[in-house]
Amino acid sequence: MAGGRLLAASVGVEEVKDLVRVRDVDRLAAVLEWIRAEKAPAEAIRAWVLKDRRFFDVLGAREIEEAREGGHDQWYSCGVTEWMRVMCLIALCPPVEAARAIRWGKIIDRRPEVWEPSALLVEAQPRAWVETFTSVTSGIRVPERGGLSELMFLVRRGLDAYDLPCPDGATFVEYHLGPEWDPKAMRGVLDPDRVRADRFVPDIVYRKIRLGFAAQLQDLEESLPGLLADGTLERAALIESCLESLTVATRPGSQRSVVKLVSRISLATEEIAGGLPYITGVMATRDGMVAAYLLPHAITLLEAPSDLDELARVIASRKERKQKQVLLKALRTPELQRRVGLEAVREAVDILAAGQEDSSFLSAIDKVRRDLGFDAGLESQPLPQPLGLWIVPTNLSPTRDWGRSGTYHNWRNYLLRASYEYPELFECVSDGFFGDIVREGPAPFVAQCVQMRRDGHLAINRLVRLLESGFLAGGLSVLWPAALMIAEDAATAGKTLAGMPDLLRLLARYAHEVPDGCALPPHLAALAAAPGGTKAQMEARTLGAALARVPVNNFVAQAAGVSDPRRLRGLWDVRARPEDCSWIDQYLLFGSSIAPARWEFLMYRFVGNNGGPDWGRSQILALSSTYPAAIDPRATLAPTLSCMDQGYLPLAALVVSLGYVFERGALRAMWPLSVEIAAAVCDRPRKPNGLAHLLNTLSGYAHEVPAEHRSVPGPIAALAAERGSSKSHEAARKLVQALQATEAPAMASA
Amino acid sequence: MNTYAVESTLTKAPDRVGLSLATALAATPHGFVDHPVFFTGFLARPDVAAAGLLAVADVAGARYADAGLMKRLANLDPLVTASGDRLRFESFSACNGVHARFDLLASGIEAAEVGFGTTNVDINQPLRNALTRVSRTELLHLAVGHESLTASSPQETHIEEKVGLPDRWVRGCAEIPALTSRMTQALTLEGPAIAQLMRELPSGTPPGPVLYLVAIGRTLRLTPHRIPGSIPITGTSRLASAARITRFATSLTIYSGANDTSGWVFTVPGGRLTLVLSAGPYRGFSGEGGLLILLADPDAAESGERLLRELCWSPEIDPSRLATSAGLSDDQVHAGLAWLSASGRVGYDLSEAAYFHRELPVEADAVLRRSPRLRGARRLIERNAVTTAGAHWSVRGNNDTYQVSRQECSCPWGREYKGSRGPCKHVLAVAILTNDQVGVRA
Repeated sequence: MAGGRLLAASVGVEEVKDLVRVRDVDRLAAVLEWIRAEKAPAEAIRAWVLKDRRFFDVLGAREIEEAREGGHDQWYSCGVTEWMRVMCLIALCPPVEAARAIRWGKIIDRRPEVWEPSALLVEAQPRAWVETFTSVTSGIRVPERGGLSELMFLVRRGLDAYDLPCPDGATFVEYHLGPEWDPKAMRGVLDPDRVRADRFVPDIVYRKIRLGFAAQLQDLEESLPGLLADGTLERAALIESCLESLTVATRPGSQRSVVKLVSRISLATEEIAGGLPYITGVMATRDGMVAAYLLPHAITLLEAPSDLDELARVIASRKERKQKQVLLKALRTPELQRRVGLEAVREAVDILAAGQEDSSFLSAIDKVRRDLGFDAGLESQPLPQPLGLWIVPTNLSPTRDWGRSGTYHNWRNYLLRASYEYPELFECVSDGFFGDIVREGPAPFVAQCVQMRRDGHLAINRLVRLLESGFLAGGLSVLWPAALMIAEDAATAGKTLAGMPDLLRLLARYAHEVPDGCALPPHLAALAAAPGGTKAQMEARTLGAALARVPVNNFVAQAAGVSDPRRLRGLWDVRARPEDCSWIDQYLLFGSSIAPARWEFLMYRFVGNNGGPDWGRSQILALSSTYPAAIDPRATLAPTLSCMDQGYLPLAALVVSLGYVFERGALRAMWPLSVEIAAAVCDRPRKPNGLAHLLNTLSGYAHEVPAEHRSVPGPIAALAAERGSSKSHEAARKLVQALQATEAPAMASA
Repeated sequence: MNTYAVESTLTKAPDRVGLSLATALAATPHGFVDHPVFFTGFLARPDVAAAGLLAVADVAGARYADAGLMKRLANLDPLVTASGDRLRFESFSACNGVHARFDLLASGIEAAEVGFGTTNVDINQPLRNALTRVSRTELLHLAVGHESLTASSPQETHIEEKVGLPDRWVRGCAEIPALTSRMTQALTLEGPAIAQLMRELPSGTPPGPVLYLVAIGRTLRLTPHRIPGSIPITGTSRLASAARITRFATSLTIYSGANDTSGWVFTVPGGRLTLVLSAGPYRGFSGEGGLLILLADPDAAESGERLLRELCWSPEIDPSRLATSAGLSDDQVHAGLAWLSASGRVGYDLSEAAYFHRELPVEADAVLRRSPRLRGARRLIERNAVTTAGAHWSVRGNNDTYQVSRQECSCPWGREYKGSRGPCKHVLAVAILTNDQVGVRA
């Protein structure tokens, strides 16, 4: 060590400062190595390095400045100064002090040759020092702006130097197995061979799961059985890690990944250490997917009445409906009844039923009660008494300034299906909504909702939330009738809209506050009276019963007498309004017939591709108004199906646009093509998604079509005649029935 | 350094389960004692006790108001107070906006010896994991403190883990009793209705939305608007730790207090879990400072000191009995108890509407007097910045001169919060100078 000998007599703070100023990494490394080898006193240098951070900051800033002057390609080659500080800390400080004093966020030099001297200094330290240093460093949180690769580099070199085991530090555990230069990119980098070759496996895998980084292992899910089979991972240890990770508050994504892992290896109930107490504790506090996965295991482990009571309480306090249904189904099994006793089953049913407003679930509960010979619950409950919300407005009054709707955060945007929901701004949205209601009354709100519903943009679940906040804020007498009108309009759609049961449930919840004499409007009454037991129908019956002040079962009998709500609106003879039409595309018509390629493009735009559906819809309306004969299925069906086959014409979107143009004067022109599309789709061996939706929509408009145009295409008739109870089969039968109906509906009044 | 001598453990034997909670430096009737034994005995409902302990530990490990510090999760150890017939485990969240206390009552304890004192207990990760697997039917022996320690060598068993009782916990412990003692009962739910309410609470990113709970017929509804009679929930996700215990709860009593604070008491077999939510999702108890003016009151301090000798680690303090035994008037007893709570020496039990004696295992007085506002007030007095100006006081601050009248100040802080977050340093300076107590005892 010639350099060391030369400096032996004179090494001190100033000498080290000089080396840092000239960025002489090699010479500094030699000096530090000499100090270590000779055990030379270096307390003053250590104290200076720890204290005088400004010295390094100033030199570091100068380095960056020089790199900037050197051009953009030089940016990664500055930061030697900070690395020299790291070298001093490693060589002169105790391990914990060194690990904590390194400023990882300030290390920006990306040249490995600059990192190397620090790594060599780590390797030169004794085993105990390295063990402590790597243990502490592996748990240090690195700032967002950088230093992670460098930290991982130094820790790995230290661990490799003495063949140390996998450290516990969360940073190392999180980022090990990631790419060297970008440890945060954990997706698509793990393959079984790489995992087998890593010397920290299997410990790193178990620790990743325990510390909540299980989502990083998603690449391994498929190969997990193989890794277990060849002994790379051990089944018992893997399961224990997974179970342990569910006892701490990890991210929901991580919890779901753990569920995928244990599902992949087919976790058996007897492998769950802790049994039912563990499962109920985890189910009560963790993500819905975890609870759903563990529920069958919990049911298997039920032995005593108190077990079932505890499990029922856990399930009752969770939001997910599916889990309640699973438990309810299990309660019907004689085997479980034998294990826990019938009395415990009865109590569990009561716990699940308490506070439930979901009519279909309550109906299922009632069925279980009847089947098991318990007292009926629903009918025996007294009708709720009104609290006076209708007649005593609390807050919603013209005297209170609710503010106005914001430019973006307003109720119109909030109710758009495609808009992003800002939960924290809901209060602002609802304030503006109340302000608008107070100033303008509910009519514009209802009109807007009806329009949005017809355009397929209304998010009913958000509408429910907005309405209920208005009900509770004192607007019940204003907003409840408005909500009923919106529900009635939604009931005229050809199918049950998503969220419709929630809207009806909301109306039913407050129905006992509504003055006597109110009844279901025609379409909702028809929905309630129609045969079947869909969620929307059951909620409509509950609403009707609440308004009629009778138990639900009594109301069903009354509703059966409701007449057909269909009213002829004369849509067949309606012509599109000029303001709804646009200039017809000059390439669309070939004389008086359609250009197939251009029609295909029109269909592409009709469902909202490339900028929304407005242009396509206005083209169809214009065509139906001026050249209705041009929309001849013989010319338009093939390009339409071609567009569909290419994936640009999803049936769900097509149905929305068809509903839009049917309502605005294109029923006569588009009906033949629509029926032909339905027939062509019915004829396919594999029925696409949305077929039932399309058939139901056509059923909703069939009564508007004159009898001579209501022929039933063969494929639809064939589907209806098939044995089967799928939605498509049911919808086909409904459509055939509607097309073959001979009784003309009454004309709607103005 | 305050450390644990051993780690807390849960060991399973064929005939019973042993839960041994390690204690640290403790405040006891005999002064500060290292690693005392407060409790040894069997529990009536081991599963409930384990869930209650986990709920308190969850709060200690949670940060509900994330100021970009989510990754720096605190994981502090709960405090335990032994009061002769019961144990009370309590903790604060890292954001100091939620206080949790699990009371293991006499009915939840079978055949045990319960001592007196307050200390931290070690709740480590392996113990949490083990606690989730405690079943109802197991015979659980709980030991708070390790009896065999006296026989073992300290060198062999010493655990170099620093016990944390941060200043903000001490300040929170001082604020909570005064806050909860002024709360009123708003709603009581029993049986399945508790599960129904917990189901309705929106979960999601902490602290969750501020909502108001209102009873509509047989159901409970949540609304974003304040309605007369509604109960505020300042951050719905801050009640998440209650999920540990909801399945055991036989009743839930909700209390509402000043500035939208609320107290949630879950009654479980043999115990109670109390969660107190601060006035806002991003407000901590430690910063409220509502009791600072009491600390500057020598009369209340004198009453408090006299009462302290009569408390005897009582689990339920009876003010009338205390007045008789200490020879003080009712007003003096109330002022004294308020001073004691401001000093962190008593807690408040919402269910029993009574204070209980609890000494913190730190120099609580010193911590509380280190409050930045109190220190600022003293600096103002040292600088002779407080002068009379007719009916008002004039206080010369760093940037301006402010007018103080009673407990109102014209400084920006005073104008913004109007006393809802305690007095500003100018008001405190005037109070210290004049011992002005008007409004405090009212």
